[in-house]
Amino acid sequence: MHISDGILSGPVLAAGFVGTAVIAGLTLRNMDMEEIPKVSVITAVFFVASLIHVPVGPSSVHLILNGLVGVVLGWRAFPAIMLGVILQAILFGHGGVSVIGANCVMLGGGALAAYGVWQLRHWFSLERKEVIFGALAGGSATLVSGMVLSLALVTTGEQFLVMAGAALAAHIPVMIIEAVVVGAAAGFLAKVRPHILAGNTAPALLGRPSA
Amino acid sequence: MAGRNALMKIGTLMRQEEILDERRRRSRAWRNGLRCLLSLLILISAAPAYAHKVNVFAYVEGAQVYVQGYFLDGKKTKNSAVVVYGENDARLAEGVTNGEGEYVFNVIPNQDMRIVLNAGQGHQAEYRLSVADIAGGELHDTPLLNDASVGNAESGAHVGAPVTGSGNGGNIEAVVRRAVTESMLPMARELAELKERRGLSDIIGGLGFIIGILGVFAYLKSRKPG
Repeated sequence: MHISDGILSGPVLAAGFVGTAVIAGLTLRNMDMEEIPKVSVITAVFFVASLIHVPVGPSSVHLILNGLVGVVLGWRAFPAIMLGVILQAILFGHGGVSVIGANCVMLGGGALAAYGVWQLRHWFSLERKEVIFGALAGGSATLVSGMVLSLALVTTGEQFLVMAGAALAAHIPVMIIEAVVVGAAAGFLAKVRPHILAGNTAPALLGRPSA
Repeated sequence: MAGRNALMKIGTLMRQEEILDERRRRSRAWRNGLRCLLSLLILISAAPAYAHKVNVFAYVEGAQVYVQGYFLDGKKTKNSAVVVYGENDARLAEGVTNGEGEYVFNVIPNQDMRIVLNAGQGHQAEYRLSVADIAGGELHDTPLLNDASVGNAESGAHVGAPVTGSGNGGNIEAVVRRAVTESMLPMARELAELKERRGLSDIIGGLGFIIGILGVFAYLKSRKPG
């Protein structure tokens, strides 16, 4: 899903960088020292995720996992993905360097959307709601990122609905895989270390022994 | 009395055992999770790491330029738009790749060419052919050039058979050049793939960057007064 160099026009690239700077400034506020190891590990997972290829029909797609980043890090998902995208562009040539801003907004926006969907679970009390909402978050992250991709490509003269349809169709397998992976991960973490997931309180406040 | 105290003590001991079991189970689950992550990372690093990128290269054969588009994991880019730009970004040719990811167009002499392939969804790559490259592949001053360039159709989305020699003395050079080009093709393709390959060192480098940058961030945070 990473956009390559030379496709988007100057104003769109600039808008991408401005958007990234603004959102990063908002989401980096009051970052705790304690959060940093968690951000570090999840950024590493996101960074490596793009290397996992899944053959789909005539082409192949790769994992994105921005849904997982949103579910675990909450608001801090955006700076984490920003770091991951920068390193992917520089070290892997994955996505153009001039497009880093736009790619950050695309994937970071998806992660924040996933966080939003994930937080909706507080309104429900279901069995294994973490798995369900984790899966929904994973799928919606890909969906929202696809929408942002289509929006960005509109400026190159493509029709939005046509692009959106094509982006969706191409990424449905990814959406399904992401939903499965994030749902499973969220369920697993909810069982062993629930306080790691975004929107859950830390054990110190609950009086439980931190195992 | 003593009996009840004994029972209560046993009860407390059992409760402590349960807590310890719970902790052991949790740390075992945590360790298992970490082992999964580690094995996943090792598996990834064992395979060659190709970013999902589109790539294109082009070569001149006879009086035509063959453009080949492909994803780095081997799949060909079908029905992808190709635009050829010359000097001052003039559009020299455009078309669509066929089922094999190939696009062919006729050589336009004495121009540096920039061939851009767009595989949709934001994936694009370009390849530059200089005048020297074109001259190397083209056949100058031989009867073949005259046969090939006159009256050729403009549409290029076909894989035409390369121009063959016609039994002339000067055509031994042409045949040799064709043979060399054909044997160079797989090497050119491998070279393009090799340039894009990301090995374990890139992955470890990236992970190191992440830890380092966040470590610096943590250090700066810890120095804040109060």
